[in-house]
Amino acid sequence: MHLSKGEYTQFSLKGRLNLLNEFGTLLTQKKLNETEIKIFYIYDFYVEVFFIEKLVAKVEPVVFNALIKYYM
Amino acid sequence: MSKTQSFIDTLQQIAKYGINKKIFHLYTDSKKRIKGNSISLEGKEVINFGSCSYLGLEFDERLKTASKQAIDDFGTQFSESRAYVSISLYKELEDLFEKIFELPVVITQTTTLGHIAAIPVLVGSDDCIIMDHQVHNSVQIAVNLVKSQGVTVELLRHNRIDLLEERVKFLRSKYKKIWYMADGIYSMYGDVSPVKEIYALMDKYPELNYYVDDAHGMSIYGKHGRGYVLNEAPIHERAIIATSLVKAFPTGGAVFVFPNKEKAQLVRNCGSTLITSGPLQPSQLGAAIAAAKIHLTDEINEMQNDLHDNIRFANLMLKKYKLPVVAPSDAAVFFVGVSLPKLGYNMVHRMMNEGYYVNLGIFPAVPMKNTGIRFTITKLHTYTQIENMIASIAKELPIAMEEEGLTLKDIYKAFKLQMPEDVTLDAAVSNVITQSLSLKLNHYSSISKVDKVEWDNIFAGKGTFDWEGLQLLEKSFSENELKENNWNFDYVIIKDNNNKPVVATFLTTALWKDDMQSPASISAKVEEQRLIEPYHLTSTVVSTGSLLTEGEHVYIDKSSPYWKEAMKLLFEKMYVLQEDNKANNIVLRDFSNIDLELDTFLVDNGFFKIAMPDNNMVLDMNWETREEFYHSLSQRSRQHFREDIKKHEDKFDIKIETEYSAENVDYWYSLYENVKNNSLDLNTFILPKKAFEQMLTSNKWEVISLSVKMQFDFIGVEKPIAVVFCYKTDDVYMPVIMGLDYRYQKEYKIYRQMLFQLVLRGKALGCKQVNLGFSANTEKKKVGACPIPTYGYMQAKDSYNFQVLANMEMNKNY
Repeated sequence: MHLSKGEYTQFSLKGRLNLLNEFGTLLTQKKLNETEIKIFYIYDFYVEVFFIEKLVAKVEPVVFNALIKYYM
Repeated sequence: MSKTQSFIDTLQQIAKYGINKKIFHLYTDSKKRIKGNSISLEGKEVINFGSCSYLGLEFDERLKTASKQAIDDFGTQFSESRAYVSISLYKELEDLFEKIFELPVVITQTTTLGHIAAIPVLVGSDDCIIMDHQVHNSVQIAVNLVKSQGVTVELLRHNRIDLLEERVKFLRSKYKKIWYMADGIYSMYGDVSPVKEIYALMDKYPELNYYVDDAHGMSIYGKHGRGYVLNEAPIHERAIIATSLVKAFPTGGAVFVFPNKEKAQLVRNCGSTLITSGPLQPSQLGAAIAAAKIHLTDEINEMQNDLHDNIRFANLMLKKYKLPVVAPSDAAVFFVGVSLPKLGYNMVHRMMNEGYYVNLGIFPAVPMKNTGIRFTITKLHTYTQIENMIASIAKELPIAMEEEGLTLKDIYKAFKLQMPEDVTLDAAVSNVITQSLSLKLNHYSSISKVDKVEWDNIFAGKGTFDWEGLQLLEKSFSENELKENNWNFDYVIIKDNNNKPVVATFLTTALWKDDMQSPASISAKVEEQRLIEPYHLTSTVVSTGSLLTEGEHVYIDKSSPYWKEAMKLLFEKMYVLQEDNKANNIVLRDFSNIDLELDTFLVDNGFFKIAMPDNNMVLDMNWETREEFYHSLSQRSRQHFREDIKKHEDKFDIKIETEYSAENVDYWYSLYENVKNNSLDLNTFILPKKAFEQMLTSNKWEVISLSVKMQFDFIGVEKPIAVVFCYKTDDVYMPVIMGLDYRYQKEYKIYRQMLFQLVLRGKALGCKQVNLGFSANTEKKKVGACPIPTYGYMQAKDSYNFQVLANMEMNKNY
């Protein structure tokens, strides 16, 4: 059963990561200086995971899907 | 059979059934170590959704190591009362808990033993207790102890803080302190106590104290895992919080938290189980210290967050799978309603097959019709496990509902939940399918619409409810001034394809006194209250039969293969009438010689067995003379017959009355009022005079009177001193209502005399049986009656009134 983007954001950072781990698919990853960005597809939306110095800094659904192409 | 026995029988039946179905009293499989949330039951690995160890700390290596170390250091036990010596680990743990709660604490061996220690010490004899009627059983056990000291105990409808205020206003001038006792998080539905509202009331009323069991809130809420109650607000100066160390805090024991040192010291010094019961053992204390240390770090916040993410996920999934969750909350306890026990058993069994262990939430933890699947979520569950388990409920529920003949509508109705629109549509389709089944339910709102021959073929001779009897009953109990004397009548005949009745009955919807079957002393107390509130502890009831009829009101053709289906249609009809008439209870009566199959069927369909008074019948009428009748009695009864009946018989004139003047009816009614006011054994509303007037219009009724001859009349009433209204059928004579002038009872034993004269009258009419009705077994036995055990079955939407009466009964017993 799908969660919506809004429902996804109700979860803690660790909860969001766990959801990605269990139900998401890693599409791509990119490194920009000290920041590593991983793009996951979960349910029917994309999620950006930002790592700064190997620590998770942010896990947010992608608002504009058009931006995904810049990671691909 | 006492009511208590009937309760235990029902409980035993449920337990045995659950054990046979491998739902209750399970053991994990031998030599299978438990790792994480998987357990092995009946040779199958299942995911455990029944654990209350919400944080999964029982597998933490730090706790296991500390526990082992404590055994190495102190042995497997330290066997001394805590009044004398405790091992140092106790002191260390107390200090840690005082840091966790930042308040004085007392550690007890279990929450139950803690309540037993604290409540009798805290509650004085000039205090009063108001218990939320869903408060945990462990609190109720301890409260029963203070009842023995004469403390007044009242029940409050669950979480009704408005009613709490009303009671506090009423009681505050009578009692020094009023203790409201509740759970922080309720263990079945997972709903919560409104802490802030209660504190606001406590600020308003200085007599109000709050005693709260927060067992399911410990560790999973608040700073350092202080629990749900302390997370809502800092402790009130008149609050006591009990919490458990055998749920999310995974070691054993309990902690009681006090607003000040004086109260804590009082319980520590004087609590009975702290003086005489054994202590927590080193292994538990060692683990508890390790757990408490974790609670004092930020790690506990992380654990709480993980758990709350899981709870959030479960709530979202339950919503998406459109399951009937009874009380959605943020607690780790969930309850998916299934209404009847049979569906509950079916579902739990199915869930085991699917690989999930869930609890069956069933009577007495919840009302019979509020059975459900209770499950808990812990930090150890993965999202996949949670979703798959909930998806399994959603997949299996429709299949199980079809097997058990229930619909989602039934479930939503049982729990008074609003049914979602798409579910309503499914229910409509289901109704169409049901209607196309071969059984046909015929419903009539008056006996005048029922075919007389058909009705009498089924019911003639079974009681006063043949066609004519019911016509009279309808006239008697309509258009009366008082609401208790206006009954609704409904007639149901369910036939098969061949137009043959499978189930038939008549139903009345009327106002009943809830204490109808309570001991007379309890009814006397309730009647005192009714002088102020006439309808105190009364409920509208949809019942087979009526308050004025006795006998087998439900006809069931058990030779029909469809009798169970037909009974389910009857239940459906009763539920509709229950809703239409806003009735609380449904009652099926009177059953005698119940077979196990019917009994199981009724219990599975959510009915609770109630013992009714024995029905006394004179079945041996194979005598011709008085002498033969005398010899048909037992030796003891013969002695009573000689001394109490035969000795006085010549002093009376027996008459079948024919003059039904208004003056006579008024007088007979006054004799009936004497009987009614003299006995509260079967406490019903007094019958209206109109009922008596109506009886006299029918040639099926007759009035038999007993008058004392002038020379023996030491008072000089010159009127009948006993009168009985009797119903006649070809085979059965049924005395129904009696009136007595008690002034003659002691001298002449007029009650026994009248019973004897009724048996003679039955014989004279050629009847094969005389039904002397409910109660007074000993008296009736003396004229040859056999007591026939009689049962009823009940469903209550709300059991609050019965709990109030049970509470009164317990007060009396102490």
